[in-house]
Amino acid sequence: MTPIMQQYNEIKDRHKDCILFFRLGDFYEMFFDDAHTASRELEITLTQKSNGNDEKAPMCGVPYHAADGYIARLVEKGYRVAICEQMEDPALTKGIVRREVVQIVTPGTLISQTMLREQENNYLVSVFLEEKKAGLAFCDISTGELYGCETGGAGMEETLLNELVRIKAREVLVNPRVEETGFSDEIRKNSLPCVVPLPAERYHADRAERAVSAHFGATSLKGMGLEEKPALLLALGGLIYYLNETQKRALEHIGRLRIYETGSRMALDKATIRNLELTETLYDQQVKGSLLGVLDRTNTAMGSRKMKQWLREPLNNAPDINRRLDAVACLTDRILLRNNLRELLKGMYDLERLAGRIACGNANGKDLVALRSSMALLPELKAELLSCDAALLRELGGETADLSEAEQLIAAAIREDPPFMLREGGLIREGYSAELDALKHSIVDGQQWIASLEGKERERTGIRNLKVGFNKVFGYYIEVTKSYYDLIPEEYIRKQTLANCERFVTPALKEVESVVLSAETKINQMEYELFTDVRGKLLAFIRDIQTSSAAVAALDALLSFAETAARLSYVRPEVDEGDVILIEKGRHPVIEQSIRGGVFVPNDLWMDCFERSMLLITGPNMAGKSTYMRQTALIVLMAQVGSFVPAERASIGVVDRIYTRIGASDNLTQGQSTFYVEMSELAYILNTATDRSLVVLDEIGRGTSTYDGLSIAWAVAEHLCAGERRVRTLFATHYHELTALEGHVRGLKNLNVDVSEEGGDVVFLHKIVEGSASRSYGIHVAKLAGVPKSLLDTAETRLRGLEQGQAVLEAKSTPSPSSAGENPPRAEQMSFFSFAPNPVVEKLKALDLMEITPSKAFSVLEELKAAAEAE
Amino acid sequence: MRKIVELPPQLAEKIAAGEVVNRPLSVVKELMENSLDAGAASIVAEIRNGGKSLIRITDDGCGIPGDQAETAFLRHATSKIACLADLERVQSLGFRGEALTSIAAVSRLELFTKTREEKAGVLLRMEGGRILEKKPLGTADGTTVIVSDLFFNTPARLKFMKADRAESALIIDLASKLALAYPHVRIRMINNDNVLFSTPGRGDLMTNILTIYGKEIGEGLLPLECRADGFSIRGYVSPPAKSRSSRKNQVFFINGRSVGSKTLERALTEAYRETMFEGRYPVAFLFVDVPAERLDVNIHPAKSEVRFDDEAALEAFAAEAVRGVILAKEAIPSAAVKNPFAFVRPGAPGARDEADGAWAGQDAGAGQDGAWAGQDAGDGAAGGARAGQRAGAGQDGAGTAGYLSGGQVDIIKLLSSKRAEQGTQPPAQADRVMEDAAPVIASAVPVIASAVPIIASAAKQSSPI
Repeated sequence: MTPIMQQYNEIKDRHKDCILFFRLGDFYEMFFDDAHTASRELEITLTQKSNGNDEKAPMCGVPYHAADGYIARLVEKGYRVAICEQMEDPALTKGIVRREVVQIVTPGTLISQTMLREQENNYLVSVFLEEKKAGLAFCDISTGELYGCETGGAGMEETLLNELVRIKAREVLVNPRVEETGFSDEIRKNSLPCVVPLPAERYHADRAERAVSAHFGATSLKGMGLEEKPALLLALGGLIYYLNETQKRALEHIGRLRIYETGSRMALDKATIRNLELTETLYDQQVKGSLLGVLDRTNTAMGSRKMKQWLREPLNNAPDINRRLDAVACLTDRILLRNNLRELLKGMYDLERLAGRIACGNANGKDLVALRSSMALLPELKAELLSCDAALLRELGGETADLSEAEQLIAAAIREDPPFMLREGGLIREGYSAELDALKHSIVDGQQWIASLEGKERERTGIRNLKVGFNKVFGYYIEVTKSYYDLIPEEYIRKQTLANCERFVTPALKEVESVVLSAETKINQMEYELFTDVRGKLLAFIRDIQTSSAAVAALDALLSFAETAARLSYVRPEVDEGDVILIEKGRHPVIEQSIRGGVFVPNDLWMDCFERSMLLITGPNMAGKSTYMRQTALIVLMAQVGSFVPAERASIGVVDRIYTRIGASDNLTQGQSTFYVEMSELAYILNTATDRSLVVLDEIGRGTSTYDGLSIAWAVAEHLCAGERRVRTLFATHYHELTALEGHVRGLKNLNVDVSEEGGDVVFLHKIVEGSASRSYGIHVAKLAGVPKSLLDTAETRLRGLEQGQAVLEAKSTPSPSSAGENPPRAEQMSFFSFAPNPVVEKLKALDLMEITPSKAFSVLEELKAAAEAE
Repeated sequence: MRKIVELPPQLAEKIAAGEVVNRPLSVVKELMENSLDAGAASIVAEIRNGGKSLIRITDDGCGIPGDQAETAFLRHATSKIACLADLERVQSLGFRGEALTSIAAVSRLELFTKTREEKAGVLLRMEGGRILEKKPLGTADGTTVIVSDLFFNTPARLKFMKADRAESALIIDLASKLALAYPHVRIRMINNDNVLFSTPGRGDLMTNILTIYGKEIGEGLLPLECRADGFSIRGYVSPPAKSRSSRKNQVFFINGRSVGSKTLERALTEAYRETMFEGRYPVAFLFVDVPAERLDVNIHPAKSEVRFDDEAALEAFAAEAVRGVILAKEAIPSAAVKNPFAFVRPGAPGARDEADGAWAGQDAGAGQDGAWAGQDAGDGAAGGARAGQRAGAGQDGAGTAGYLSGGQVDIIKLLSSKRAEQGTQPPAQADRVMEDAAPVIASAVPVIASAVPIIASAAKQSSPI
């Protein structure tokens, strides 16, 4: 086997689970199985390479400068790619060049700009699951953010899942127990693609401690808040180990661990994030049509990411919320300030990701220039912020660091418009390095000398059309035509003969030439070194850049709230720790923007934890029940994120969780029926809701028989209304029977969607009013939907009959050919409070005992017996 | 010869409509004025394709009762006046009873309206003046009118309309002016799904100016308020340093109605006569109120011109008010900067000598009343300024700072020394001064012009402006 293939096999052995990109000259090559995979997935040609043995190794490759795109595609498909570089200069080594894997690219550890989505974070998550506790640590390597939490108790796994969905994890590291309990399947089901099991050894406490301390450069973990959180420590240990393995370099920019409690934010379960369409629509995952689409008017990529974070993590204590609201109010009122800040932010690049690239050694010349121009805007930003009334804005101003030193460093060293490539010069500004400038001058001098040579030699030799030229083969030469051959001086050395001239060189010429040519390579090399040196010096400022960029991101999000509030006439909500939720003329933020051919009808809402804790909403479908409930949830959420809200007035008592159970979602592909899914979501809600939660239930009880569904809905209503302080609930239902509960179950109030019947025409008013609906108008909705008139007429007749309690008899008197002889099976189910009168009883009632003969009585008795047996 | 016959009503409608509604702007104007008359607290105006394909005006005003919806579309039907006396005292913007009819006659129109008292609202759909559908509907309180396919049935007029951009510019301008005139109403203007501006309805004119016109125009405007003889004027004008190249940013309201007014244009020219070049115009937002009986509003079909019974008095009043404000701003202290610049223009009635404080001037014959400031290329001066009063008001004023002449003048030095003394020169103004010649002149001017009140009071001759 050839030495190179041996080297390959050695390295490949250590990275069996990755596709190995093996650097050979200007290409990254893959061999054997990797080659087959790559050829298939990337659609590139499969070739061969001799192995040293008789066989040839399958091979395929990509050019090194275009590798990013290919790597991205493989990573997108879930592969992990190990990049193996040549560590020595081939020109200088004898034998095989030393090679090493410098980076493993995985979905959760992307840094390259081409592979990242600008407006989204890219999180790598590590989960450590135990019987009673679980730890969760996650980081975005491209921005340096690192978070962790520990959770336990009831609903632990559900909480973990909710967190994973909330943060949109790209890659999840798990300990063996996760696979064993089948939790990893749950993770995969929730469209989180890449689950990477780590071996159990990675999760030993002392190993984890060592890894974590080493990363943060701390001698002990005291003060990091990890003492009481062993599960988090283990999760963190796994995460850091994996980062080291894949990046093979120090990751200083991941400098701060932010521990949070799952209870310190308003918790949103995954169903709620999806159902309320917070950051993307349900059906086509687009931003337009979601709440984010309405609120996001940020000017920077970091601001956009921050807003997404905030929407998925609303606050749940009034003082913090009011701080944000104060800031937004300040920005809404002061138009000039808002404009100024917006202009400044427009000029800012993505500082967070730039910092990440610098820390990982990926930043190029253009990145540094972008960094500099962004940093230049910070002082003015800071001054504006410090002049605000709102405390939060002043705080953000305070967090903006003084980066003038870094700015000057880059300004002094890097040219205005550097190229992308790092090794081809053109990077360093004149005046930064005397040595470099001298080299550059020497080139210039040399070139000038050569240029003047022509004139000089012409004079000296008298050859009037002597020329000095250059080509790649011979370098510089002196060209003389045939006519002047006799004038050629002795020291000219002939190099090349052509048809009508000859070309010569002189020692002096060659000397200058070598200086010039070698100087160029030296210059490129020196520029590269100087550049990496500058980049290295910038590492010292990473922390400051990160805090500043976090402040800028938060400002951008607040500014965006203010812009939207001004444009769409939102109002500041009053937020307190009370129980009352009061909304006057509330509107649905998304629908009011997209409604066409009509006007959005605003509605009021009033609920608390005592007399009006459960609002039971009945009424026709398509008339606005769901919209009303969703807009309430959205308005509460918007208020707790710190945004203004679409209403005339709003007073929100802080909510610790929003649950939604909306719509019928079949998980048939996973063998779960609608009803099962509904019941499991309901179970979760009932088990974990607190008296500070907000629950939104839309049509519980569909998907099963009427009695069962109704009973369950009834029990749910009673359960949520039990207790001193009741859970605030919006409950839309098609079971009118439940409206009878008002007055019997404390806290329950009926609302319905108002309908007006004018001249036989039913008009949906889209207005929510107190009281229960009189009818369901289902047939009317069917008519609007276009159901055939004949069917509607039959339905009308049946309806009237049922309402008058003649279900069974009516059915029998209008036989249809196909159903002759069949008993109408569902008649019994439809009636509840009023039963269809029993025909036997009716007959008995109709009997006149005074007039009947004994034999007649006996035959009537026979009939009755037969009728009774037939039921 | 053809017979003389009465035109069929539909055709007559179209023709009459053409007078009132001749482009999308007219539709928007009529509808928005209706909304204002309905007492709306918030109006949303949305257009597409310059208003040709869609115009939607939504308000939360009093709405139209269901049984009156159709009547609204009859010609000459209105709720705003009922007799001649009403017309003479008209307070509302609309009063002719023609708008809705005309609009409906030449478009596809949908009306959604509901009063607060009624449970259900009503939807009325019309095409070319014919009612297609009327039905009760659940809708919000107030009125929404959606006008699509304007002029679909009058192809000639359709061709007459200008490009989308031109038509939208007119509409946006209208909405802007209404928003300024009604700062207590929230007005939102949407063009092709883009919210152009949305005023908060807090009653603050300055906020609205900044929201609609932006920082460029709005920053640094001087407030103005003045009353006399039954007139009153208020608003904002730009300091003399800030001038524009057209009259575009001069917006006038008389009795709350946005109008063009040559009278007020002249008044502005007069007020800035000494402080601004010819060909440059100030920014001004002026609200003038005059007694209603002296104003005739019914002279122009589009109500965009009004006639006042004493134009000259109005002009004088406005000019005086504005002038007072712009000159007061540059009040300079009596710092006696020695005046090295003597300028005496031989023979001119305004000629002064050194002791009095000279007029800035220039050689090029500038006319009787003091010379014009201008570049004097010849001797390299940065220019001088035309100082205040008409020459007739002879002055023996005290020396004031900042005289410019045809001599070696370094305005920059002058102003910066003045600034150093005063310490109150707003930096922005000074910076601008440094940059551009014209503003240099313009801002040097008030320095001189401020001398006027001092001079005037000293001379005790005040000539009317």
